[in-house]
Amino acid sequence: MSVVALDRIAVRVPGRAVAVQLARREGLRMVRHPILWVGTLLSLALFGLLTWRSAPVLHRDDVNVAGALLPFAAATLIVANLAASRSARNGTDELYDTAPASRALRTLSQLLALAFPVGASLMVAGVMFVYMFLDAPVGTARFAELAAGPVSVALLGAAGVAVGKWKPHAALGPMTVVVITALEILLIQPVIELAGTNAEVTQRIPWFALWVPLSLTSEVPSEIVIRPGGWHLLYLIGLAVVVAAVGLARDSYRARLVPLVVAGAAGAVLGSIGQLTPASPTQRAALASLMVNPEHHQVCEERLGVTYCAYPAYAPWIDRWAAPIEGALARIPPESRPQGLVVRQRLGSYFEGPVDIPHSAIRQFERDHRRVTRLGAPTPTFWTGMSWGRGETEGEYEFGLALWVAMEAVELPSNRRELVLTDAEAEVVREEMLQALPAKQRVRAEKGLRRGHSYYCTTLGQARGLAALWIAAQATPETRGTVRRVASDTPYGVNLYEHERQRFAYYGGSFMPLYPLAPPPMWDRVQFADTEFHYAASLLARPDNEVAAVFAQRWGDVLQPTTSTAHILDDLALAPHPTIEEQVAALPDDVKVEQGTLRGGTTISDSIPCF
Amino acid sequence: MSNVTVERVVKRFGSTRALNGVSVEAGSGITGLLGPNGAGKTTLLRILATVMAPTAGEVAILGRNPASPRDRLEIRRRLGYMPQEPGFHRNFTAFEFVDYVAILKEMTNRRARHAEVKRVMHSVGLRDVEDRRIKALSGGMRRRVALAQALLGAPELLILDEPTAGLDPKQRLRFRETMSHLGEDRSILLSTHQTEDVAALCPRVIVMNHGTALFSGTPSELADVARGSVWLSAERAAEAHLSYRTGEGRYRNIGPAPANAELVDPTVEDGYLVLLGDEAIVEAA
Repeated sequence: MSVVALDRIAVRVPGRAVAVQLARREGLRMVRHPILWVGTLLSLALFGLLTWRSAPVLHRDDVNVAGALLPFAAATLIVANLAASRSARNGTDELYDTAPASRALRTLSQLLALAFPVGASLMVAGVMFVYMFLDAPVGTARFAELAAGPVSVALLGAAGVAVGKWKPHAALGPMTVVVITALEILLIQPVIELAGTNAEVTQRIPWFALWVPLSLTSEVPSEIVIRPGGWHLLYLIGLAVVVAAVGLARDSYRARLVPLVVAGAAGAVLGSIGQLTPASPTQRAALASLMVNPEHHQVCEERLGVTYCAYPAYAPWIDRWAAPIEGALARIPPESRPQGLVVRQRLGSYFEGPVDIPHSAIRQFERDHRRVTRLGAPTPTFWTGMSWGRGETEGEYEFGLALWVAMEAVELPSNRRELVLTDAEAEVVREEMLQALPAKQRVRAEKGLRRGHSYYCTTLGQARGLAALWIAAQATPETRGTVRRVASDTPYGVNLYEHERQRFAYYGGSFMPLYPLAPPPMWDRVQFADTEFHYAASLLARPDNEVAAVFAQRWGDVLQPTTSTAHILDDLALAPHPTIEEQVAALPDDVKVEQGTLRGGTTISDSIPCF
Repeated sequence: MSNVTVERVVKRFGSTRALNGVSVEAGSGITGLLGPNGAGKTTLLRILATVMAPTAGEVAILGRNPASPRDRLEIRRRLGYMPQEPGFHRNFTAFEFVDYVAILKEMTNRRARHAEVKRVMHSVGLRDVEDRRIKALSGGMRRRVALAQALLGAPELLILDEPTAGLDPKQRLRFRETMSHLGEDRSILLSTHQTEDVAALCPRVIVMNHGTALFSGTPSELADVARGSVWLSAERAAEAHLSYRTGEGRYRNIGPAPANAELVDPTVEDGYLVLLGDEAIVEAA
């Protein structure tokens, strides 16, 4: 090599240039480390787990993005720790100490190198956003919530460097991750334990954790939680600066670090104070209004006689709600199409977690909730929540809306009050409808009648139950897929299973569990039967126009509660299902039949027929 | 002019005195440092490499005082050091490791740095294995990696602690060739147990024992220490301090003249053995 070239190499450079070069080298090694790739996969998997069943809501999922980056942050801690402790573990400190770059400069470069994993975490977050944008997200992501993720990566990376410098041992990185995980779990415990207490300062203890979920136990809409995201971000940045200074303090002139420590501590303390400060009465009143008086805040739109009302951020979901409703309405004879339907969005009634709604508002909301679900709203209203399904789950949500429209069309009860019988009605039920039921079930249903009311009614054996289910099933491609999947997962009639080399047969009963297919308010009034559900699933194989023509032709009969399913099977070209007795008789001799199977099922129900 | 001056240097580790008032000088060219285990060679080299400070005494390296932070930094900029037991990052490739050290040596121009890394890798015969991970290299290859990093930036002062340990004969000859070129225009201080290396390479040799310098001079002066004490005989001489059978079948005796023996010219090894007396002879045996 020429003297000139050597001179160029040996040119005096400031420490900053060396630190940048070293940081680049260390950073590239960090992001190539297999542990970081494992962290990346875990983060993406966690994000998928948190969101794959829900249509994206940016001002909710921004919290999930930050939370899902925690495995990535933990992996960063481990690789940063390995990098920082490497020279001590590998015995190269003696050699490195004879180079112009000091130990302090090496530590600084390892801290600067964290820009690489932080950058990589932004890319991971970007992948999460791409996943969300594939399904038309609503709302707006909040910077402070999102930034908490990459800042946590920087904070844990700095912790890895600090531990590696003070106690250079390869096992200490993973051990630190365990300790931080335990602390995180311990700190967010109050999210569960203070559920619904509306405690103020204590309710905010979780904010000392790295990440605070909206809720650990249920889907709390982010609209009813005031999150001190900005203060929390300041707290995390302050902590990161202090922890970085601790790492630097190992080999630096400590007096020089004082301003850094003071600045970091000031940020952490200021952030702590901010995040412990309860929401103001004005903020809480605004939330209460959002919940109790949704009509003051929502935007409404009318389509084909149906009114849809949504909070402004969710307005794009009106298209999603309308699709199954319009698909169902299209198969209902025009004269029977229900009028004045309203689909209104409503904040959930689950208040676990750090919600900031005043008690009085919650009580009022619950009173309203009881009124509209038990006694019926002034107009047929479907209360939809703050979430919507994604993928397979979207079919379930759509089916719920379509079934609601279909139930209104075939005049099934829309609230519990309608299940209270007059004597005359009870007589009709007893004489005309119960006779169609199997003997054991008839006895049970009569017990329900004697009480004069029931919590549930069943469409077992009723043609209108089949009509409602088919109208809902065919509404969209997603509802069709959902009904086919449920029918396949829950075969009709007697089921076989094996236990300790013995084969058993059992029949669970006629009740077709449609939850979560049918969201509230349908859970507690109409029970659909397995017979009609499987007939409806079978009808999906036939041309929709043919099936719709049959129902249209017999619509008057179909609306009658006394018209049995068996009565219209021929017209629909459906073969009757074998009875339970017939299925049991056809079983091989070695199959043991479970008790209750021949008495109409093992699940006891006191439903009366819907009338 | 001396590039290295050590005066009355003492280094204590607790109650142990590793260096006990040692005073030596080294100018340009190669200076060999000989001595038994525990003589203080490594401690002295570590002080000269600015890894540690002496407990007492004066040290000047390249005309600068390593006790001063500013001078120490300047010394480090002009120094190449190969420790006795260099650590390695096993998952680095040989190139990555040397390149990492090059950054620590303030070589921030990436292209020029890579050219320099390739140059030193080539000079120690490692070009073919530069992309191999260090954990896959033999012990000899790893020592050459350690030597390569010491050569980065063509330092004015090279301090090599037992650089030939673990090298096979071919590698050792290659090393001598490299050192002889480098020694033409810089100072090299190397410690070794191999007197052949000293005889072959070093115009100047220092012998240390018990933390002091026993001898400082040329290899021939060291050999002369044993002049009149080395004899060849047909039989093992009972009174000799050390007696061993040579490849020719005769006995080489160091000590008083045995009967029927032929006085021969001493080697550097003979001088070293005589200088250290029984201690060195026990070690050699």
